[in-house]
Parts: sequence; C-alpha cells; structure tokens
Amino acid sequence: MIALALVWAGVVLALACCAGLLAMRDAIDKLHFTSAASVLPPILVCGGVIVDQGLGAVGLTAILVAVVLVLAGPAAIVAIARLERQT
Amino acid sequence: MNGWLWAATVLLLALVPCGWVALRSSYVGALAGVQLAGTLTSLTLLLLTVGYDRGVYANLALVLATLQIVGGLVFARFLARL
Repeated sequence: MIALALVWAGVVLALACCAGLLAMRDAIDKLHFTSAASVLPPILVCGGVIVDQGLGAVGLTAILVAVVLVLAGPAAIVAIARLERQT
Repeated sequence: MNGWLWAATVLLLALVPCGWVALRSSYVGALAGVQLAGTLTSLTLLLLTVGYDRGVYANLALVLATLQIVGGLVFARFLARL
C-alpha cells in the first residue's frame, strides 16, 4: 500500500510536470519543468519499487535508475540551457 | 491489471504532451520534451517490471535512463553547431 502510494505520488508529479511543459511558452521555462521531472518522480517511483521489492536485483536496479536520473538528468538540462543561451 | 500497470499506463499517456511539445516547439523546447519523455519512459519500464513480475525488464529501464541522458547531451552538442 505504501509502495503504491509512493508510485502514484510520483505519477501525479510527473503529470504536473507534463502540464507545466505544455503550458510554458519559453524554452527555459520548459526546461525548468523537465528538470523537476527528472528529480522528484524518479525518487518517488523508485522508492515505491524498493518498498515493494526490497533490496534484491530489482530494488538495486531501481536505485541505480534513480541515481542516474537524479544526478545526470539536471546536468543534461544545464547543457541544453546553455545551448538556449548561445542561440 | 494491477496498480503498477495502471500507473505505467498513466505515465505512457503522459508521453502525449511531450510529443506535442517536441513537434510544435523550438529546438531547445523540443529537446526539453524529448528529455522528459525519456525520463517518463524509463520510469514506465520500471513500473512494468514490477507489474509483470519480470526482473530482467529493470535492466531496460537502467539502459534507457543512461542512454537518454547521453542522447540529450549529444543533441545539445550538435544543435550548438547549427
């Protein structure tokens, strides 16, 4: 139950970020919502997977997915934002 | 259908606005849409792993999470040269 609550919280946040991406006009504003979606929903969804599956193979892979998305996602967003600044 | 598969379905539906932004926006805005779509797809694969109880599917999520970020950096690099 807690696992699904975490997952659905992540899904709702992802939907909110999609709505923000759709609503914003400026590219930097769109990147802001993309960056938020690469940090909060992965933590919640992967947390739900870990609560359900424990620290087995799937749980450890979920941790890796969350670490990759949370650490490298904003770095890619920064690189894309620099591109917007150049153009 | 269990709760995990419903959550994966909702995340798949969230790809529609990302695709719309990728089609209708500027280069950088489209890249933002593609990045968000990659993140959502990676999470969807993770949810399908639990929903179908197939542990090997989680590797797909990990590979996609890595490659979509590398792909975004490559896109940014090439678009900077245009």
